[in-house]
Amino acid sequence: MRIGIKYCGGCRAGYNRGEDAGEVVRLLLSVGHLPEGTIVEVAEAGAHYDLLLTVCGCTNKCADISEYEHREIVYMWEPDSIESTVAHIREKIEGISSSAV
Amino acid sequence: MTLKTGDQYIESLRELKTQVYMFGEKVENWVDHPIIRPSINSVKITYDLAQDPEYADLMTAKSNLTGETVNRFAHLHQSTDDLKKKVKMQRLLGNKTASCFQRCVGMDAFNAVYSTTFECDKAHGTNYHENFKKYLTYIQQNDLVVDGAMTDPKGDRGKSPADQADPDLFLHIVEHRPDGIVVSGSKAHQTGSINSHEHLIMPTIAMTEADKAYAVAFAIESDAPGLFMIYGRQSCDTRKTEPGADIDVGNKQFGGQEALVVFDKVFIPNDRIFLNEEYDFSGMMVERFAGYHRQSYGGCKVGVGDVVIGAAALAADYNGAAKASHIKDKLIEMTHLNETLFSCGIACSSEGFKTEAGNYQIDLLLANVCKQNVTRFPYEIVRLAEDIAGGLMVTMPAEQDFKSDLKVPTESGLTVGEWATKYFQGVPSVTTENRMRVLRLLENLCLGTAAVGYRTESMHGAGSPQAQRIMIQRQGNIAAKKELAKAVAGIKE
Repeated sequence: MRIGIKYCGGCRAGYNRGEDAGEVVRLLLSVGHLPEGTIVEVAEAGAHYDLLLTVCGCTNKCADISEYEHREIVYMWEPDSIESTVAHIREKIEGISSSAV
Repeated sequence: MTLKTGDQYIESLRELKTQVYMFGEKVENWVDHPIIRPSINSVKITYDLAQDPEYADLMTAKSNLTGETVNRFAHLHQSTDDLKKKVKMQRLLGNKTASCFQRCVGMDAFNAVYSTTFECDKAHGTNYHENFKKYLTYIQQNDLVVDGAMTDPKGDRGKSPADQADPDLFLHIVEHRPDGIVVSGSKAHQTGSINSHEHLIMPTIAMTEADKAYAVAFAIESDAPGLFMIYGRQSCDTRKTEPGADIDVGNKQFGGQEALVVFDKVFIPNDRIFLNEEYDFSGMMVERFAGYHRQSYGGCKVGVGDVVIGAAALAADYNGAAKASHIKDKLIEMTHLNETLFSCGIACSSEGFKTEAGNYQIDLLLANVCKQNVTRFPYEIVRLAEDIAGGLMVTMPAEQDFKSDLKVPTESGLTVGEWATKYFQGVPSVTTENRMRVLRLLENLCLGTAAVGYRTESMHGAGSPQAQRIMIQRQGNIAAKKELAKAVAGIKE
């Protein structure tokens, strides 16, 4: 599985997007929520991702994702949403894994 | 990918032979000069953030000229979304630097010159648009900083360029050669000129045939023979030269910069000329550049305003006054004013349109309304910030006093530093040093070096208030509004 992280530009970010996204990844990795061999990386234009974690600073969620192919997408856009984002990603991963079976 | 790193930008400046004068002397190593370096750091961050995935969405764009990813400051706007992203990028950079980051003038000049040369070529059969496309491709591929330079000193404001007692008070062509032109004159108040690799020169007003020698646009390397700059000083600037200066500077890392750029018989080759006596297109170039630049202020000043508001709120916390209802109300008012400016910047971008050349232009009326508000709101924001901060921001002893080990010969035996620290403590949970730091930052923004950018530049940069009022009158379409009133009132004439 390949997970890409895409950030908006951060003009009105109400929280530290990098730190919170890092914490989401840390939690996913530390409790074994990700299938073995999963790659988590900063999204690269043109690449295909099973899941695109799109980290935005506000409700506008204006990150340009037009150049990122993805099967599923999860948005994070407000402070104190680390746990809910992890839960949302887990749901999506389970969906991807079950459809693969 | 054609993006430089911030460090590569700094090194590229060292390769230039730009001639800089300050305090009556030539500055040999201007890159490391303590007064100049903070302004270079502000430009550097436009490179650093373009490399950072957390900010690249705003800081970069795909070039319509090369298809490559370029710094947004070198980009031609391809949509209203690009126009909005420009404003958001400027707010972001204002947040990061609390200063003028100087690179907007180049971006605004690129977009104005691109569309104007297209229409000039169509009318006159000239080849300026192709010249300019080649030039901008070179700028994008080398990720260069360009000073978009418009403002002439203008001498006697009651006289046209050709009628000035000294013909050099507006930059003009002094000689035509088969391979180019020679120009003399100067550009005043030039933001970031010393920190720029190149200059893109535009005329400063609409011209008539009598002024055609002044209707000239071109690009030139910043270290070209005959070109030099005289640094513009800022309030409290020499604090940066004090030994160990830190807290008293207010913003140690970042700053803005303006200079007088002088052209003493400078040669411009043909392929770098974008207007050469076509006086009927001078006004279009001026109006388009001014429009873009008036949009810009709906982003950059808002970003700095965010820092002013944050600093005022911190000062209230440190003073123990944060719970007072009038303090809360003042912070609300500051936020309201600041977000109104942002709304104007976004609005004139959203209502933008495609030019004949293909790049996007802002809505001129809304951009002028944006800038008109910018001539007022930052002044009210700093007034409220000073109100919240209290008088200490201008009466506090020097940083050296707070650090002084000199014993005062009184019974207590305390040092100067201990006395100062004791009496300038606010709430017990915050150190006196942190209280000093936020008050000095406010001083810097309200009346120190950064006030050049946040206050007086808000008044006169991108055109003084009356220039916007003239445009608002032209664009306001009062005649159509009269018809609306007649229809509603049942007036038939």
